[in-house]
Amino acid sequence: MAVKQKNEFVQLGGILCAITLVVSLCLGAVNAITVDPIAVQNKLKTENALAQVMEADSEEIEVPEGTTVTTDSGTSVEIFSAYKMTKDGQDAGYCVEVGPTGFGGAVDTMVGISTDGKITGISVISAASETPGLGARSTEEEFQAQFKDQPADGTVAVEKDGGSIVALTGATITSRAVSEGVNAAVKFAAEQG
Amino acid sequence: MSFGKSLKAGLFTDNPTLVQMIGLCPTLATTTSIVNGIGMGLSATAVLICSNIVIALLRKIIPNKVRIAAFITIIAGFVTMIDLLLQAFIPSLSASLGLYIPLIVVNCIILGRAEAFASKNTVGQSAVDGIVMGLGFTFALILMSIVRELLGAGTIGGGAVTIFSQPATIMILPAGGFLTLGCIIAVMQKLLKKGE
Amino acid sequence: MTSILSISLGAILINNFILSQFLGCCPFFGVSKKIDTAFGMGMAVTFVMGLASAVTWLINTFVLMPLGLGFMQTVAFILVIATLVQFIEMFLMKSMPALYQALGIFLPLITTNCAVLGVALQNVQKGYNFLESIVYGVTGGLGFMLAIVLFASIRERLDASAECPKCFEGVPIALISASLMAMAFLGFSGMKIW
Repeated sequence: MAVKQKNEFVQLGGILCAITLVVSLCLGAVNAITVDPIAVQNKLKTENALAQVMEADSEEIEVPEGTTVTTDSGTSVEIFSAYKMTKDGQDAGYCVEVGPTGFGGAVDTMVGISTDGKITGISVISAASETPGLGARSTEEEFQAQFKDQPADGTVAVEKDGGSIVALTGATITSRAVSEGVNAAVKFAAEQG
Repeated sequence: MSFGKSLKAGLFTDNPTLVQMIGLCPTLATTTSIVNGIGMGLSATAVLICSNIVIALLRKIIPNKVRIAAFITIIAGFVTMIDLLLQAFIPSLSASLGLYIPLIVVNCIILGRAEAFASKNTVGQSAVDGIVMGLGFTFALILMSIVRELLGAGTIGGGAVTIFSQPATIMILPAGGFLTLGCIIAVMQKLLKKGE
Repeated sequence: MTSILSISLGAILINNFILSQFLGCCPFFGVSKKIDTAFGMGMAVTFVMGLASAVTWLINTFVLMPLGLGFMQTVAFILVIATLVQFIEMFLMKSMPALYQALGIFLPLITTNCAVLGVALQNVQKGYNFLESIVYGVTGGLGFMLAIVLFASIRERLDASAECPKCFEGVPIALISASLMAMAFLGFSGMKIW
């Protein structure tokens, strides 16, 4: 009886292992096919965002993972990546990708800052963790256009906080997060010199 | 059962979401716009068809005692494949469905059909079952998302046509999801009663 | 400390698993006819979510990431959760029969509860550390319990005394009550600990 039970265990375990092995192999194969396109897609996303906020050549600055900047109002914002921008060999400013905390998670935003102290534009790359129909509308052009030509001195804020950004309807938290993200980007760029 | 009859059962009289009331999480969570609804519906359908076929193929090999674990492994495999393929080739859809793609694994419809149908029937029958049940699920999602998008965002077709500019945003918030599903199921119960 | 507090508050009230993320809807509608069963289910889910958060975090950090097997996450997590639930069931049956009697029947249902897999995946997505993951798991479960117990008490009264159109009886009216609850929970969205 004991032997029979043991055999059954081995058989059951064996079949389960075999299934798991086959599934893993198939997944490995699919992963091998998709790993490059996924990398390309991610790079494309960043490049598109860069092109949207500033027309210039970019050179990535290394940012250690987990770097954060605390804005004047005390919000801690993570810096995802940063780029030094040049146009016709001239210094054109910085682009900084920030992840301020919105309603459900980080709102991935690219911010362009020119050398003459202005925001050249912002692009919300992903607001997938925000509420659809409310905070997720921060990816819309109309909202983002407000940030263009704002002064890059850390005072960008929504109307409720005494600034000039009109918050998205019902999504003050997301709008505030994006504003704080812009301020953090400005501060980070200033630290780069 | 003929294909036409099974299709009617899957879409209407035995609809997995609206009549059997399983797989409610994605039905509520992803129906904020029709693009998301269709994307979710078709992804789940693809997984359901594949897993039904493979489980029907292996139904004589998989020992009864560990069948649930085996089913889950197979389903999780297909879900990951769909997830990776979406990330690689339809990144915008992958971004907006996010977490709910891997969560297809625990969609009760898929495990339910594996257990109730595919593990007892031939490959052909299971494939048909996968198609009709998947379409039934997709149908429910489309219905939900049309109502919610129209009332909640004032648009039709994923923002393609704007109908009115002052929408009732509450309809695309969670509360509106529960409300819409409640009303649709009520209508469904009324219709089914009439049909009897 | 603030992060732990804001995670807890977020998971219980603001981003409630059921009422704002729709994770765990099947048991929410399936086991919410009576307050005591709803409470039992809530306890079981909280327990498993906390444990699963800890175990999946360890597996992800020390096995999947070093080996570059991030794409196996879903498969690995669901297998771990299924095994974990099985072990908990066996353990409770042997050493805590009283608790087993209370929670036992709910355990098999939990494997396919999307809140459990959801919390494991979200811990990775949000980059939580070990402690934060456990806190998120446990408080997420508490949020689930809060919602399901409240909902069950509404349903008990609904079944006992409410009159509604025939076609709304049963699940539809329950869904509409859930909608009103979700609306009430929407009020918490203004809360925020910075």
